Amino acid sequence: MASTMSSALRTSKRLLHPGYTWRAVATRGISSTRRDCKAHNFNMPALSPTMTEGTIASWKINEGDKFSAGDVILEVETDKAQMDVEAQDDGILAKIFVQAGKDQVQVGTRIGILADVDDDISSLEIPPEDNPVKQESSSPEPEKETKPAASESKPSKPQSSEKSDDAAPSHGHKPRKNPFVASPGLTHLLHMNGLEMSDIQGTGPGGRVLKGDVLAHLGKIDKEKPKSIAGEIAKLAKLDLSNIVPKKIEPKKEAKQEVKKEKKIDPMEEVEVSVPISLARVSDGHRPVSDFIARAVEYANSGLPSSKIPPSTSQLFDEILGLPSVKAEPKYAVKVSGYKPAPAAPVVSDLFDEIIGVTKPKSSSAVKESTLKEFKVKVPAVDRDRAEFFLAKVKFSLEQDERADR
Amino acid sequence: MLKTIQRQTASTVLRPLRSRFASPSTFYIADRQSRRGLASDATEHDVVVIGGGPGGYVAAIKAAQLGLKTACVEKRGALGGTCLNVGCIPSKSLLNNSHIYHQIKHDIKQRGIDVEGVSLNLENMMAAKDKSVKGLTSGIETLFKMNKVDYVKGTGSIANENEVVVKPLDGGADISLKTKNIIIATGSEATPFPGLEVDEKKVVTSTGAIALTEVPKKMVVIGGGIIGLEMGSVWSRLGAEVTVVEFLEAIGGPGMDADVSKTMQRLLGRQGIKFKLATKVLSGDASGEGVKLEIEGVKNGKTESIEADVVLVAIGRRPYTEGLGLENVGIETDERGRIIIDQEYRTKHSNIRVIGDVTFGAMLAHKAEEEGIAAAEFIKKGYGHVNYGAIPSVMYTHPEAAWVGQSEQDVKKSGKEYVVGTFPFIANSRAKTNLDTDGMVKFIADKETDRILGIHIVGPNAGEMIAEGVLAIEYGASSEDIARTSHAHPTLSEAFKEAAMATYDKAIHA
Repeated sequence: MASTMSSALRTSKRLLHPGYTWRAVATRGISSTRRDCKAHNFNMPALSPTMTEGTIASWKINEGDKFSAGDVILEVETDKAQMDVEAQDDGILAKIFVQAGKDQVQVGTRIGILADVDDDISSLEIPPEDNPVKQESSSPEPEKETKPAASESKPSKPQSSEKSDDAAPSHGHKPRKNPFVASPGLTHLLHMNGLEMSDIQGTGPGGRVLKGDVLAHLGKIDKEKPKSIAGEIAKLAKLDLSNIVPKKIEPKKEAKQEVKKEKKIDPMEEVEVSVPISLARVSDGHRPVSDFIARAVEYANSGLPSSKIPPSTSQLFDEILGLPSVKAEPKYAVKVSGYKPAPAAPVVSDLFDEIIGVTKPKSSSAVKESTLKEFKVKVPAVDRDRAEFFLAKVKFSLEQDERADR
Repeated sequence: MLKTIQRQTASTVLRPLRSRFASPSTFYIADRQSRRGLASDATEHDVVVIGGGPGGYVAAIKAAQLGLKTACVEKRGALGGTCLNVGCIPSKSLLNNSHIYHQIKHDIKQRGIDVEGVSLNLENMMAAKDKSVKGLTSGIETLFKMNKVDYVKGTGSIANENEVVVKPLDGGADISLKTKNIIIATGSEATPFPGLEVDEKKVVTSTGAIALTEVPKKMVVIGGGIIGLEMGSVWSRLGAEVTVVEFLEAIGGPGMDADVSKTMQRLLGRQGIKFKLATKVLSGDASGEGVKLEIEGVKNGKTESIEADVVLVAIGRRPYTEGLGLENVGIETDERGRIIIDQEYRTKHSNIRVIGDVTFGAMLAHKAEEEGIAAAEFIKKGYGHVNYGAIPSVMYTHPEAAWVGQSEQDVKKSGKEYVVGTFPFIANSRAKTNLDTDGMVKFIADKETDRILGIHIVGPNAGEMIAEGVLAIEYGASSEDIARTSHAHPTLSEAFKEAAMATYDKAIHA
């Protein structure tokens, strides 16, 4: 009955100064509005994008009068122009709040109530104001505007999302007796099986009963199936934030200087990194030393920082396309040879101990010369740090790690 | 309610009055003096949005509508971001108009219309595009005014958790915006191809591809994703010989269903676009008159060199955070430069949120919009929601391709038992009368529960049709639900219904 209710108005403009040649044709606004079948607040319209207030020159119809589409309801005056506000649909001007002549009415201020033609205005429910604006506010108070925001802008509790996760993996809602209308696909199924919507527990969004729920209820499919599907779909409904690999933080100053020094070297040029490692602890004769070395190498190869060798074009492509990266981190094999002390070696070994957290480096002289072997790895220059770290792990594994014994 | 007027001419007449009308929150339209005056003012915003693209401007308007005092910082000089200025919108203008041109040249005769003397006026086609863009960007500015969003033109940089410093576009002194919350929506930029310098003339990204001054004779598109295929289509229709070089074995990029991909490749191939799939570009040389590319078959290792007047680099986009000042607040990015967030878009500072291309998820304007609204709602209400399982993707070639939910590959990989139902447009009455019958609708539903897992369409206006599919997935519909819903006759949407029928039972017309 009241379905045609619409109090949308159209405005046309007429200039006070005849010098302007404006088309007095009403242009429809672009704004979209929500309609329902109740009386509407009629607010002061913005007749231009910049208009913030205006004066009602005159109401062209009286309170209680009917109007039809195209009728001029009122005249609004701004400094430069006087504009007619036309009705776009039929209706009744149920009430006038702001009488003509009142100066400077803010845009958005309620000036009247519009009702549908069929409405009985005597029993009309007056809707609350849309934008309670101070009527006489020619000086707006910005403080007041921000106040409600301030009290409510606290970040929400982070628990809220996780909580719902635990409570119901299906859709963040507990399955419940269904309050919804049966969807088109259900009507048939329910009827054929003599079921009511309220008989069935829903696993759909918001607890909605889906076809699968009815089928499960009837025992035609696995009872758990709808729930498991809902769970999987709920997973896809979330932004995938798993497996985030943070960008590495820039190396500290010390490392930077090092890089500068090595700048002349081609980053891909092979360099040899070596470290003396004592095999005294592992060469007790129970098992071949090579076993221990192999295990140490395997251990050291796991969990290395990623290689700095630049990815190839095809790897870049994969990355751009979001494919699982095919970039395999290079694994190292060691060359073991007899140890010949070099002046740099002790310093290096200190550094390694520091890395692996050994407070007091074991003096190499304390170890029997024969058990001291030199471990070497060949890597591109860019990966020197990585190789050194690798060797430190090998050293740790062979010299100290108790687990390596087992 | 009220239809308010937004007549462009009004502003010209009313301009002298602006300073009188301008409320404090509209200082952006006033002269610089008053803006400075306000900048030094200690007024604190509730929200400052950095970036005025589809994510940022929507977030700003929503926040303002929720009663938060909001400012939006944009450095382009026009709102709407990549999408509106150099992305979705201008490319759609070119796609639509080039399609009309192509149709008049090649298709209209069979419809009983004889035309002569058809010629392309590229300059005017570009002007039509620019007009659409202009209208839409200024439209957003109007929306900002209507919603009382402060529009700050300049480059925003985060100084600390509660302050954004803006370097104004017009070169004035820096403006400091104190704020309770910050929303980062700085978007993305085209990923350059290593070794090929983009000049936007010979070597172009999508930005240059929508602004070429003449139709290239030969064009090579590196990357057979959506952007590459759309722009390739435009120039192919206008007369260029287009070759698409794609590293993968299928076009369309990840996420596109294999059937859709294959169908599209066949249809676009018929339109004259050449494809070199499973082929990688080794290097490029743009020093000569044209551009020379060395390419290599991924499988056979065969190298070849191809030449083009214009090379479009469309290998993807990367997050844009330059000059944003993330380091000032210690916000981290991941390896690909995406800002790290939680499910509520928060960074390690809970009052700084991030939405859109600059963070995780698909780089789509409508995804950013949803996040913009959700982020504003999180700030105001503590709750917001985006269903990432129901975000559609559309490729605006002809025919269009559109999908929502999982592809058949995805479903297969998850190990679920599923049913596929398809219906071709050749069997649809409206498509037949339109003489536009390429494509099909494909449903994927769970075998036991019939719940729809994915919908994939190739066909005229697929991008509009997918909306029904999105709604269906959003409501957890079964294919039977759609099959038992009336669809008007004769419309293309009947193909949608019939495909649903084919999924749970049998189609009528095939």
